[in-house]
Amino acid sequence: MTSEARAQNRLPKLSIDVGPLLEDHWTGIPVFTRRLVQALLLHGGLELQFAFRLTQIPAAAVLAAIRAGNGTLLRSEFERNAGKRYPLIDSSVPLLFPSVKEYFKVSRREASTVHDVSTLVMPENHDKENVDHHMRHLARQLATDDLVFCVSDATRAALTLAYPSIADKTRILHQYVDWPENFPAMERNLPPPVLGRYAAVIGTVEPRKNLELLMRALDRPEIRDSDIRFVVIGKQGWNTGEFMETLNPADRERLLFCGFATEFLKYRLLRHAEFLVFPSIYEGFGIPALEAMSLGKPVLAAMTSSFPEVIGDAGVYFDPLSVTEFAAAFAEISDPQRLAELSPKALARAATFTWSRMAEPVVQWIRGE
Amino acid sequence: MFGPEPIVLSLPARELPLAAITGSVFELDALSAVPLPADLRMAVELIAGAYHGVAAPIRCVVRPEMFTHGASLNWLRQKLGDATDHICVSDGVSIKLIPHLRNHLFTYGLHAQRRQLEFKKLMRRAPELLGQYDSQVNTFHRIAADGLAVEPAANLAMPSRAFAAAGVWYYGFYLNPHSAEDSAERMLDWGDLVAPPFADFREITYIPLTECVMKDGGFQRLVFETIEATYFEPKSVLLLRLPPGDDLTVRMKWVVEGIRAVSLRLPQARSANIFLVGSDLPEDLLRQFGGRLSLVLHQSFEYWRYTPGVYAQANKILYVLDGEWKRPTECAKKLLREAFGQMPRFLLPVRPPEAEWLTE
Amino acid sequence: MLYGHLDTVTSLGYIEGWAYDSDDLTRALEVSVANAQGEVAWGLAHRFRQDLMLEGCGLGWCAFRLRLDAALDEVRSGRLRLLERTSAREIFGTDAIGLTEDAETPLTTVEELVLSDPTIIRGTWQLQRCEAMLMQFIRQHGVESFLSAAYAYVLGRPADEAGIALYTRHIRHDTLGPVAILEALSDSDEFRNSERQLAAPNSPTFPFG
Repeated sequence: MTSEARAQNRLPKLSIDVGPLLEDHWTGIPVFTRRLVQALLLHGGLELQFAFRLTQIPAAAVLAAIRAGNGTLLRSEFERNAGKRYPLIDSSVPLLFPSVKEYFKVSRREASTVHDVSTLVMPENHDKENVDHHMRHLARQLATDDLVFCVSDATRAALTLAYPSIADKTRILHQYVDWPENFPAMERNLPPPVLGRYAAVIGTVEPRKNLELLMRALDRPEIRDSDIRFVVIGKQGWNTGEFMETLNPADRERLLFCGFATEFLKYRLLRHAEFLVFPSIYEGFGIPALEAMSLGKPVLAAMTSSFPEVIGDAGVYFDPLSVTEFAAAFAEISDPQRLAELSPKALARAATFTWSRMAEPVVQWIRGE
Repeated sequence: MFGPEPIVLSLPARELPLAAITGSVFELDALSAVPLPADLRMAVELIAGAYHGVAAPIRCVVRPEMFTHGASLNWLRQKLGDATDHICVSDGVSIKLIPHLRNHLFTYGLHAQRRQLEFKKLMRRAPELLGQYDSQVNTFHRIAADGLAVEPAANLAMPSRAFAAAGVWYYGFYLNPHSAEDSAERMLDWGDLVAPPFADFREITYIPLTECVMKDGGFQRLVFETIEATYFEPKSVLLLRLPPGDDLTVRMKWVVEGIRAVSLRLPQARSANIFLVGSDLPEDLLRQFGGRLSLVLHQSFEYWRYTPGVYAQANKILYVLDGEWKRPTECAKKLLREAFGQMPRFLLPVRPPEAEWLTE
Repeated sequence: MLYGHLDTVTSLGYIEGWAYDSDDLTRALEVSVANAQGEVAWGLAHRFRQDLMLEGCGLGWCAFRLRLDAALDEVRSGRLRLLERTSAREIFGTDAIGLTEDAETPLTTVEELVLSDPTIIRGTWQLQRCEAMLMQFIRQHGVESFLSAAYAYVLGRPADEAGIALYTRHIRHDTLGPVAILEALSDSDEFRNSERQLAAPNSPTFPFG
């Protein structure tokens, strides 16, 4: 739609704080922000403006950053122009923060987004700076929000348990998966990996990712006697290395670390895996589960937080603190017949998470629905 | 207090060796062989002692916050059976709620300053949390903000028998006005397992110190004035329990630096009737003191370390509230009168203007 | 202007060649190979080949190796055409294509899988032909923006003032070009100790495209 047409149609306006997009490398919240912006652009029901630190940023610069997939240029342009050319935001336009909101009662209507409340309910799993960043102003953020977007029902449930007064002004904002268009073309022309049967594992050094459970389960007969190995997408941390030293050589060979993975490598690893293992004890949404499901891969996941909501019947669940339950669930999901049942469910489930589903709650908020 | 319906305890996950537990929900008995910090063990035993049910064993849940809603919460409900009450045993860093149960809060370990600060920060940042508890055990936490005052009903859980006490070291008090290190070193050198001749004293004052009180300017002044007065009262003895901690030298220096922060004007002489003690005085010793015993207790001291009988016999109990309080609430008075078998005298010491207050 | 070539088919059932757009060297062409019966292979011409880089074919990142959807005999008999897939413009045609034994070994370890990722570079030497592209970036966005992007790309952190001052001088005095600056940054202990992987020009996260 041209800008003239927009003006003619008088589309309602929304200002989005694109602070997360000014990061050099986009993971987690920056990717969520990118997807939200793209979903709203595709929807076309709003006239979008972009802001950072209550300063307007030209749409062209934001869109260029989205095309580039990183925020380095956007940030350097902002720092060059903020004091000179970029004006203050129009405070009559509703203002949406895709993450933490650090300005209050600037606009007539404000909304922020809560991704998860792990800094509140399990702060010991975060460093102090991260806890302070999310929690320092959370009560005020929620109190001054016209609406609070939560990235999952799980986040909403946890948030409203701690802040029941905001229950009526929460909405869910589910993310979607958008692999780069050329990935299938790239993948089809590469030789498939010959690693034998393997499960992809999301694991980093963060304690709540719970990789330790898998490592403790390696000598369980259900896992030891299986022909499935584990390819961990993520770097091996110092404590992982120490643990690996305690394993016998046979167990050590079951656990393969690929280190930092590019988006394409992650795509490949998921594409050729039997299923995804996601042992994390707590997730706000769990986008890796959706990524795996979009490629037809079921998920072996903890029966906690957002997993049942995202994965539904496309997965097998376990108690994240029980090696016994994990081993039994592993035995179930690694059965080829069970995998064949779950794979189409994974695809079908993933297909329900779309850009329109992400855009709609925001549009409804602006329209006052 | 709890029962006969089944109850469930949530415990701080980081205090539990996860390799030793079998899952998110397990029976309390499974912890009997698991090494736990002493104050957590005490808290668990108190709750178990306050449970009057026989229908089902007490269950424990690690990280109830994982089971947020829907299928995961239903899973947890099934594991918890027909439990009706959840007691959150918290070290102050986070507190847990289980949506379909009556929730009760038991905070322990808040004598440590870091935990005290974390808990107060949590109450400021999530002020609606406390109001969702049906009751609290042994404490009288309250929130007053934006015209809203929340103070869950307080229940008392006191031990029915004395907790095991180790041998007590006594360190004759000495203050070098020029050096905290020298003060601490000399006292440590003079340490003795042989108790002073308590029978010779008419009045025995016991002040169990905590890390929190050594940062509380008003309480420091109170301690200083008590030391000052006791020096020249040969028939009185003052016993100051060192704050709990791992390093004896550090604990000693906390106390010395706290006193020096008030004033250096004390006799530079080893005292014969003022002692720092390295651990809790055993209950049977306190009982021997009978009516000669006076207690000065700070709000951060976990009074549930002793059975009610110790307090009931004391001649007087001075209870010092934390600096953020203006007066004791009715809830606090009721709880402590029940715990002590007598109404303590509440004190709000005047704080020096240079005292540090908690700010965000 | 589109340029390209069909080099060979391989014993493992691939067809190899290259293609690029001389008017937009950063664009990875989506190509198709067709015989009389129709399309027999398709994909992106965006892989690196050193000989192409040395010969000045595009940036050197314009090779392809496409899986054949037809039997080798069928593919080798008759005319083969290399097309730009979206426009169906013919780039190259041949009536005879050779057959080579495939040298590619199966990917049996995670390490091999990581190394086979076409979206990362093996070293900044693979960017030798990207000088013009990087200069265009500088003209469009400025030296400081280029250096910000270079530091973020290689070292994963903001540029420090000393580095900006140093490399700005080099660029202004033409003593170091942008590729050489990337090489200098990747030659640092900081980079070598970081285990970072750098995105290739064909990657969506290559910052200078």
